[in-house]
Amino acid sequence: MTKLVKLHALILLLLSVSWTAHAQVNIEGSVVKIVNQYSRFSWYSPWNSGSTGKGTGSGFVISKNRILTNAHVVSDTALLLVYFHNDPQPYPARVTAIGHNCDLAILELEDEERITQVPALDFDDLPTLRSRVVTYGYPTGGKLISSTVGVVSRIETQTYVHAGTGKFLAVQTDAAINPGNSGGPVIQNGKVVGVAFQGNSKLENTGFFIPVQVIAHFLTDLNDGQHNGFPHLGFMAANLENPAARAYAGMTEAETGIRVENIFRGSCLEGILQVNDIITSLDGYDVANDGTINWNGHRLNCTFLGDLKQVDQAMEFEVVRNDERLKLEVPLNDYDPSPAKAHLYDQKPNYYIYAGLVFAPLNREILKSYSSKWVIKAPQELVHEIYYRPLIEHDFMDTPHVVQIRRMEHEVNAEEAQYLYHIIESVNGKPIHKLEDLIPAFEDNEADQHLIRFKYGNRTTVLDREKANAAHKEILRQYAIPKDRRL
Amino acid sequence: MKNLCFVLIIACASSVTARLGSPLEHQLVTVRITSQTWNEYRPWQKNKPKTRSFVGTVISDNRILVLDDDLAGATLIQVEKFDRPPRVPARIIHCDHQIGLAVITVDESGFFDNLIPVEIAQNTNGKEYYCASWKSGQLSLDTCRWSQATVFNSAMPYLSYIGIKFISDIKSGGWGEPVFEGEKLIGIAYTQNGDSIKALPAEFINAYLQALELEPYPGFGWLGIRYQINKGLAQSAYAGQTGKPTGVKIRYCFPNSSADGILLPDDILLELDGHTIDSQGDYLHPRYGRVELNLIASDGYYAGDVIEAKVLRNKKEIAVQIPLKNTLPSDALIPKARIAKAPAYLIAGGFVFRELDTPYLKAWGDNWEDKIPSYLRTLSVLQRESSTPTQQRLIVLADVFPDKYNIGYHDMAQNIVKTVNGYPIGSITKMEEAFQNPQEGFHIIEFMPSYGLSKVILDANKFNKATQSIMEKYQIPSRIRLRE
Repeated sequence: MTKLVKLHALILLLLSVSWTAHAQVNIEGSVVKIVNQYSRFSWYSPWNSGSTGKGTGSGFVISKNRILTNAHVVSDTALLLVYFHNDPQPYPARVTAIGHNCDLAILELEDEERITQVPALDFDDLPTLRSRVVTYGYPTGGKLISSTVGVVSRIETQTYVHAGTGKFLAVQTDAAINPGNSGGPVIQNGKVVGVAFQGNSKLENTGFFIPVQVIAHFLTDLNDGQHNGFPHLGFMAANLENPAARAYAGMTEAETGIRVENIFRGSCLEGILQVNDIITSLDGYDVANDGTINWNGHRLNCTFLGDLKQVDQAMEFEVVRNDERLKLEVPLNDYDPSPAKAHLYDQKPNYYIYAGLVFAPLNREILKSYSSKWVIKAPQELVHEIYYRPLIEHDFMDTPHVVQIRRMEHEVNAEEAQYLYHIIESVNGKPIHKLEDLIPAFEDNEADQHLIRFKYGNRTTVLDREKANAAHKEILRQYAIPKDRRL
Repeated sequence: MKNLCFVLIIACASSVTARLGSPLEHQLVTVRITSQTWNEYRPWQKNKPKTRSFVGTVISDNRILVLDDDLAGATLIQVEKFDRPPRVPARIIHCDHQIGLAVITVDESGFFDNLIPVEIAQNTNGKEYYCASWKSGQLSLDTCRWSQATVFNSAMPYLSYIGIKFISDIKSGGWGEPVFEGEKLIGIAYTQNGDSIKALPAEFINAYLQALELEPYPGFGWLGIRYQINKGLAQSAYAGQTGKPTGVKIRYCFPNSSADGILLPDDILLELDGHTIDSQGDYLHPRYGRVELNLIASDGYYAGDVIEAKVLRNKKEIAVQIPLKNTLPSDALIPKARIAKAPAYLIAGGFVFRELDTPYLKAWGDNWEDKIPSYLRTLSVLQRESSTPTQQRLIVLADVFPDKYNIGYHDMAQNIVKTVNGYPIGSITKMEEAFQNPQEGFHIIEFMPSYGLSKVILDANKFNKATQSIMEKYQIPSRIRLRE
């Protein structure tokens, strides 16, 4: 706990700059409009030019030549332009750091001089419930800066929808946060208490902002010039609200905690914690029977404490194991259980084409290329492999897979059985886990046919090897595919 | 010209109804069935009863042929002649849920005196077809135009059969209307979609009625194969074929089905019952043309008959004998249907456990496949066929009736049980046995890993009292029902 507080104090101090005296009056000047001309590539036709368009958001100056905004405002950018308050001049900018999980990004201007003309905004701490906050930004519908006022209505962890994989601390407010507000500062007493980032269509008059704890983590993470993200503890636990469950665990009346049910392969806890351990305390915070801790008066899920740590730090676990009370020091790592489950940005899709068969890595973007309702509509083996099999077979949560997503029809392949969006188990007897495995599997084969075997249902596709090799380049040419691979 | 023909046909048909004393009026009856299904969430109680009317066709020996739709769950069956009162009670002689036909009769003396059995054609050959039904007390005849003969999978697994599609003028059909060619019955309509009705053909009706003469009733066979097409030269060459590809590649067989253990994965099925199988899985039927191979097992055969197959296995042709079996929905790990049976369930400490089947999943309503929890969807797709002697069923936690006894576990529904007190659970029977063996004062229920809680621990000493108290509080009349 003390370590944690010191860490925060340090971060907030570092962020404080000498503009405090002018911050109250110069907030508008420090809030910028960001225009993102984006180019988003297709995972279904990964060799084609991407879809292009324009999005707008907001940002604010936090230090010399650094603008903070949301990751989703600047994702997939081809050109970024920044506009200052009452200044029609566009200033080209570039993304120097981006954290998709926490939906934050840092921009720098090519013209460093312009940014020095406005004050950098100071950060404050987490606002209290029911306190008043003001949002600043450039919401859709106008060219000029807009501000709205509201109160802090709730503080708890929320799913950050941009990446769609993690829950982090978020603050709910009734100040209007509309499209275009994203990335703008949320101000209290002249200081930044958050970054506006998302709404919830199911709730009325509700917006969310990223609090300083998450921002501080992001900025501190960048101190070494790298973005390593948030450590993931990599376990699942059961609440122990039922007295029988606590008695069975051998806990005393005074003890509270949660029972470890699953430890993900590759996580920092593997080999340290055990299934059925009772976690009673994390970093000095008592863990309640519902899995929450009391953090500065806020009841938050205990995994939130991991979000306050950098990946090279440690956490202290107090556990009950076979009636013994243990203190375990757990070095955190950069284990991420879910990149394949995340929405992906800022990357050109990988693929490999052989004889008209288009192969791709199994990830959320590939599933989205099947259907927007892929959880329901896609072959259920894909959902099983991504979400459930690793739990059942204790496999890595993000085991790589390859699927065939398309067939560019040609005489050599058109009559053969095809199974799209099914997982490939092997090619010519060689196991396939990633795209790179396909190349030697096809190229080293000397048999008359290529045999592609799928993982479920004993499905196979066969190609004539010589004809496939002969047709390969012709198919690429016919379908205007410039390259057969991006790995 | 086309319109003129249409008018003429209607006119001809109408003239039949206009004739007083038409035999048809004495061959069709109205069968009124009141049925009641089980409430899948609350398996000790039933849903609101519903009543539906079907067309019954009088056949020989004072019998009435009718569709088997919810007949097994019927609480009352009544029949009326000429679509007018009085209604008289009827009873089931036999029903085959898989083919969807039943034979009923009326015990009231003299009921059949003014009824005339239809003559059933040997097959569906003919040129001009019409179907007959009762509409508001009037006999209604509607033209039918042969569209297509197609192999369907029965709504009640597992059976493949031929269905004849007719384009018809009939409105709101598909309730057992007989289809005639001349004066002979050539089919029974069982579903309608727009102007298209599907009918079970005379061949199949005859086969069913002949099977009733056998003791015991054998049921129809089902191969139980999953195959992939073999159109590609590369795949056929890989299997050892030369020349034009033929046959289909066996992917796998349904456990314990007719073909299980006889046809092997990666076999190329070349011939079945003397019919050459083409590379798309069809064969040339003498009357229906090219139809899907699964029809062979039910076309003229019953369970217990043996058919011969020729396969290409390890690049050599061999002949194998396939004794046909009747495969029931209950043979699956997650049965697609539950024939005339109530759901097996167990109330334990406020937890409602029941055997997982498709009727349970269908309780999510229209588009149930889209609405069910993702975990159950993957299970129902990937694991429904893998029943084993030790894992006969999956047990799902259908609900938790909240009580302070089960506090902390109120939001756990839809998890699948793995063990109880260390015993693997494959049926409600096993579960009941397992609850007789608490572990040092606790009941430990372990669930299959998912993103919910995977273990429940309950105080075994308070278990029976809590169960009883919760049942009283929530008005649950019965604690357990084992699979019938």
